[in-house]
Amino acid sequence: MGGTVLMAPSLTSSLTFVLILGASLLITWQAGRRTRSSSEFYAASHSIGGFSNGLAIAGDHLSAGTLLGVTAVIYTDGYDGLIYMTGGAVGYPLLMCLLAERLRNLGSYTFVDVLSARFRETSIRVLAATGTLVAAVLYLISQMVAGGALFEVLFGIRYPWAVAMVGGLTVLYVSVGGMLATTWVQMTKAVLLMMSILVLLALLMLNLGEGPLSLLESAARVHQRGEEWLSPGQFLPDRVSIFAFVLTGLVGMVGLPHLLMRFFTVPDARQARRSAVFATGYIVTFSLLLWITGLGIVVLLAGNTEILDEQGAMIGSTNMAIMHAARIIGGNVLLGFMASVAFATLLAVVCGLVLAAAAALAHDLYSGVYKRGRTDDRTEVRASRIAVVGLGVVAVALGIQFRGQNVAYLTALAFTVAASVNTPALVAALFWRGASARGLIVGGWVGMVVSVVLLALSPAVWEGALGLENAPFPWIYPGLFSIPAAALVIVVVSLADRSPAAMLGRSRYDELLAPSVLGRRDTPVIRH
Amino acid sequence: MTDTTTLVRDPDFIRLRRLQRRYAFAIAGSVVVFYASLGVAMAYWPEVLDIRLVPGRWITIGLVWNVLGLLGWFAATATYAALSTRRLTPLRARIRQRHGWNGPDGA
Repeated sequence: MGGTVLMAPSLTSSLTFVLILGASLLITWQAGRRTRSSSEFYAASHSIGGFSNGLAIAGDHLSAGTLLGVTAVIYTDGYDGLIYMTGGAVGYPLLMCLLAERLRNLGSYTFVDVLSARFRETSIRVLAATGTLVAAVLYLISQMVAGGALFEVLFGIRYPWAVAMVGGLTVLYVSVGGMLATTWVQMTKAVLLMMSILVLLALLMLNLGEGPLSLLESAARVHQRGEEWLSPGQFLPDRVSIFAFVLTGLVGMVGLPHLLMRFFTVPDARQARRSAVFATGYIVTFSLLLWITGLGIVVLLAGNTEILDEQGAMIGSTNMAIMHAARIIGGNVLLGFMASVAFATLLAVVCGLVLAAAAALAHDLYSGVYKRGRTDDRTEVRASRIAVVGLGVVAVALGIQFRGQNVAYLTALAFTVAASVNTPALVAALFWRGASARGLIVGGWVGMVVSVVLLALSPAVWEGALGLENAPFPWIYPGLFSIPAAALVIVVVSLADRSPAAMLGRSRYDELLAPSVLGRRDTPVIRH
Repeated sequence: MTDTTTLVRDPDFIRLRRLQRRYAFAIAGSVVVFYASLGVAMAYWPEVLDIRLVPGRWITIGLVWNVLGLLGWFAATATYAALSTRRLTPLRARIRQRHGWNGPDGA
């Protein structure tokens, strides 16, 4: 058993868990019966409707970190919790306006397909698949670390066992049910998450007898930092960090592979647009409700000594603020429900990440690069299932290895790599006729190297993880440097590239204009 | 001249691309500018922008800014979807029909 345990196992919590597990296993079994081909495995046969895919995108986007981490940031830093959510959702209008339709019209299963539609160079696939893998694995580690810590505190399950449980279930869901099971798990989670926040908020407001605006005043009155609590600058300490956070949030989300992959599951561009609208609507509504809930939690927990340990710190860290609030107003019943929702939330995000990483390994690297597209469907699906198992093992091992690391920082790493490698390459390939494969490759690797090196030299790794003194890179996030560096190198190298391959890439841009706007063509053009 | 070259020179196709670019860049650009202004406000908060909309209350401009931003992200996404479906889909259908561009995607 772990250290301090927040909740003794009760009939309600056990029942809720069994229900969620049973439902998700049933979903997986049903989905597994309909998952044979690579199209079914990676893209659910492009058969998911706009509303369902929107829900699944929201389920993929909102991690356990959102539910627990944002309420913790609101609890300690007030205003910064709001900017955290505003920044988390800003990528959706960009995704919608710039990418959603084009991704669906040009790609099959991954965004690497879209890059390869224009540039045939193998190195492009290698770069984009590596960007996908690095971003997905970093995100995966953050989720595993959060999951292990969460279940250790909530139920007293030992950290390694908690991580292994999440990994094992993910492997089962994704390898058997592929994208269909992942979609259903994410949709179920999205519904449960909205239900949980509505119930918690309603009970909080009834319990405190206050509306949203008066909660704001009460929270500022009872918070130990008073009025200052509603000012920015606590979570992000300096201007470079603020601008890096803003830029990385904006650009990074557009390059997250597990979110991009969801746009290939719909039948056409219209459903891709509907997906983005529903997802944004859901995420915006949830963000606003979560912020009001955060205010209520501040008021409810103020001066409550039950939630503190001997040292005066919150039991299980401030990440458990929402769970403490659930227990105080709804007892073990509500706490059990919230804990189960956090579990479902974690599983849904991990499933999406593992599937995206498995697609990068099996579809982009094994089939596309190693076999040069000469694999049959069954072999590719088998390779994907093996990749899922391998990734599950790696995720569990890294989750255990990275125990105690800052989850928000690990997530920021994933965003930074996606923003510095995937997004510049994708935007250049789709919107700039002058882009060349060489420019994308050199720029992409520069983005990758600059982001990883600056992260290693930053205080979190240099001082925090390596135990050294005086980090050479003094800021938290490197996005302000790595993203412009990647973009600049793409532009300069592309402009200087006059090779025959560059000319071919430019002519392919013209050829892809029509399908990117009109969708794919099944039969040859009929002249009129 | 290839089939695709003929298609991309169709005046309707040129108009479709121009409208699509205009909608996408206008909406995405507004979002980026709004979000950047939020970042600037946050970075220069205490010195320059500590303005209270209603004196004596806690609703600072930052809160309103963020809430408007969040609602604005949804409005931007929905607006682009509506414009694309209502204004561009008929144009796409006309071009697809004229050039025999029959495929399952691209509504």
